[in-house]
Amino acid sequence: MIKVALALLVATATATSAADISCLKCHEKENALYAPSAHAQAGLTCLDCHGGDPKATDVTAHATDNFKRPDNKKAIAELCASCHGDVRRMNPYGLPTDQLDRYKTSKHGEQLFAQNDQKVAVCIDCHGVHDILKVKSPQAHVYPTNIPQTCGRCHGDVKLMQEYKLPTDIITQYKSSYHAYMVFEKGDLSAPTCVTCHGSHGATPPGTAQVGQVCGKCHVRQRELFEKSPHAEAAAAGLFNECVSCHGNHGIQKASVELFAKTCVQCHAKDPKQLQLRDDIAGLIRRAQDGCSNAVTVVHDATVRGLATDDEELLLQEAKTQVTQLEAMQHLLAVDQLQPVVKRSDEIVKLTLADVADLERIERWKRHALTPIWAFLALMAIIFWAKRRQLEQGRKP
Amino acid sequence: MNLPPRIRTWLAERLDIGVAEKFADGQLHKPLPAETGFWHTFGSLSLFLFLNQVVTGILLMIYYRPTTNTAFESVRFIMTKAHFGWLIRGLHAWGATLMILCVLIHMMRTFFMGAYKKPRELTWVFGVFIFGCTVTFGFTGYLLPWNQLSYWATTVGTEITGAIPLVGQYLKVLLRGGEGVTGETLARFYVLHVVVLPWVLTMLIVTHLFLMRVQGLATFERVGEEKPIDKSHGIPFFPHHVLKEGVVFCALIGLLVTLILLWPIELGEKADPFVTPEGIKPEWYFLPTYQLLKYFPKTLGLFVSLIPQLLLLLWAFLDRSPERHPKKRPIAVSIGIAALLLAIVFGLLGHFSERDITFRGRHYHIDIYGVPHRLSEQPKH
Amino acid sequence: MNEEQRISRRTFLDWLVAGGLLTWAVAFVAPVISYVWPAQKRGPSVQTVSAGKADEFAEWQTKIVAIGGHPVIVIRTPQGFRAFAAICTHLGCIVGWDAARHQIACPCHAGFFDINGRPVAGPPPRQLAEHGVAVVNGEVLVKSA
Repeated sequence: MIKVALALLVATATATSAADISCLKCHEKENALYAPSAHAQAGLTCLDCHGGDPKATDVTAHATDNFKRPDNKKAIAELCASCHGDVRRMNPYGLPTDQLDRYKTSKHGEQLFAQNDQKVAVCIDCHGVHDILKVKSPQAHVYPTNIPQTCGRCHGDVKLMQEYKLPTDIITQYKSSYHAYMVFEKGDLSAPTCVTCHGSHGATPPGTAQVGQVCGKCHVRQRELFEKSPHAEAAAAGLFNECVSCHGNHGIQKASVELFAKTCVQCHAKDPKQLQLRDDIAGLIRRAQDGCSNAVTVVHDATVRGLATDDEELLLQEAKTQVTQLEAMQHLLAVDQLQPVVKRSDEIVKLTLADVADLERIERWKRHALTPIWAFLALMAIIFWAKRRQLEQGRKP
Repeated sequence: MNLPPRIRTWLAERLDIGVAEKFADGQLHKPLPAETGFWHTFGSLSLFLFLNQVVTGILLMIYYRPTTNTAFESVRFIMTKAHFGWLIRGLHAWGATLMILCVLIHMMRTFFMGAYKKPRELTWVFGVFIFGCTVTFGFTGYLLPWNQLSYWATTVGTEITGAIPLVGQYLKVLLRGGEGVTGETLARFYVLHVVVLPWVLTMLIVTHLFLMRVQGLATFERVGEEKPIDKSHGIPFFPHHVLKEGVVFCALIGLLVTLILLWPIELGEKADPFVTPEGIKPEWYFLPTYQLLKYFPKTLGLFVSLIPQLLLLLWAFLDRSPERHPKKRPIAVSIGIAALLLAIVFGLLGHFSERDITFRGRHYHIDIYGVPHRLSEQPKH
Repeated sequence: MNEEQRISRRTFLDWLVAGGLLTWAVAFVAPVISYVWPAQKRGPSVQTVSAGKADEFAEWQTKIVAIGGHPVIVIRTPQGFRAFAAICTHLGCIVGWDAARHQIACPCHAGFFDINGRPVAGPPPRQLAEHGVAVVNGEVLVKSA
């Protein structure tokens, strides 16, 4: 009697666990995808999204009132939001609950909810259906290194994008960018992918007014200095597209002094005064960079030769700090503010070179020791020789 | 030997001091043949340089740390922080080169003067082993600073052992302490360099000197017709010959110091297994073999490069003519000169191979086999 | 040359030989002794570097010291001394101290690190490497690694 009761108890306790649900009879493929997912880990089963009768062993399982298999993207978004929009349910997982609201503000969401466009991306298009993983999981479709590919599934599709008159080369552009280099080559996941600038659920291209904010999220100092520059006003007036006008967007490259030659003329081609300012700024930066890299070579050569260059290496770090500061500071477009930094860098470089010259002077000075050494050795040789001759004479009868 | 009387008495009460004194006296004043000249001092110079290596080697060991993380840094410390560290390292590094040079000249002297002939064949054989041991010293010591040049020269050098049929791969792994040149290789080379080889070489040198002393120096007299040296005509080893050596020592030390000061030994860049520098060349004494190996397929090349070494080892038994004076041994002397010239030519080819040079205003690239190719443009540096 | 002269010349030469050999020995032994004598009282495996006296540091005062050619920032917090590699993990600028924020600040791109060396603002991707610090007999000693 007790045995039967126990067996019953066990049976009811496990009835809702995924393995015992009758769905698996037919849906083994789906379960294989589902098993490692975040939802499976949280203890959810097929029923939690799809409903149906877990005891029925054939198609009749679908024949319940609560059975859901949404084929409308709007319904999908709402199905996901039925849990993910519920603060009480999401609280234990520490997840936000505003995804649907955000989504509705995105281009994707606008198309879906206003135009009922079923081609736009909804939750499952980016996160997966049964195989949804946590964002932190490197296999997740939405993990930073997988983002460009996930977005590229649609935004790299020429036929699909033609309908919306959207470009399809942005993914390849991005892949060639310095941002992508940082993410994929250097493994720096704090470097931006598509979603960092465009947003994820609220994905929308940042407008001209927001560019500075978007880039300034990471490039704080550059933004701060830019805001103080004469360019800030012009940008606010909509005369140009802040950061993007000079640096580009998707295919952004590591900024260098070469940028001055290419970009300033876009607006200032017929403005000799501004071009002169450009040349002055570029000249200052170049001077500091060249001085620093020359000192690096000189110190490196001395180190390789075995001279004590610990102090000089520290000086070089300082010179490099000045040069790196300069690269951000030029956003100010103020020569008088750059000059002290360049001067400081020049001084450090001069000090470094003088230090190395001192070390070399000691090396040269060592050579002077050769004269007395040779003199002493020659004297000794003569003494030995004389002594020997003397002995030879003594030996002769 | 004139010991202070009190010490002498103290010793005499405990030891048969007479025998020791007689031996020391005999050795010290041993008469050398009248023709003992400057060429005969290269043996002593080699010995002196060996002692220099021992002393400076011990001094370097005080600061040197043989691990991949510390080897380069400790050599840098020796060069930059330790007082006169540059001098000690210079003495050791240039001393090694000069020692190999002196051993080579000593061997040539022995060869051309026919001193290796009966009854001194064994002395010659030991001498050849001493040479091999010295070169092995050079090879193992070269890795220890753990810089790019030493790392890659060792990688290339140990790679060659892999070409030996059947056991090559095992030998290579054994030598490197693994598949690649790593910290294990460094530890192995260090142990060989500072423990194993010094004792082996000491034993070889002791035997070599013992044989030399027992049999006396060779003269130009024909084999079997050597007359014992008459005490009144021979040159006493001490002080006469030693004074002559003193003169040569002065020149040697002058040369050593000049080399250290004018061509200082570099520290180099720390070994990086992921960056292969261009134009890896072994030390000069390996250049002829290095070049020779290029002209043959791997295994065959190894056998070909073994021939000169075997010839050297067995030469004392192959050349059986009784004459010693070079003028009376035209064939042997010609072979010697030819071998020397070949070694120099191969060495130079090895040195200039895979380099761009400018000769009389024209630019050439010298390929791996040492053949120059005219370049249309100035070589890039 | 009479006998006396010959003898005096002989002894003179002997003195020269002896004196020369002695000079030689001294010239050899002197560098060896100075080589063996600990240079700067520390060998190639440097353990610690002094950052000065502990009482020279006021609370929240910082100092940059060089360890093997690399700058290290030493901070006196109310809980004791902390030391971090003063090289920003972003582009390698030398970081300084922002007294108002009580944070380590990079002058180049406004990167900030808290007093545990963790990046809290700006582009630095990683935290600053920490060096152990100990106060021994009133002296602040920073570990080299």
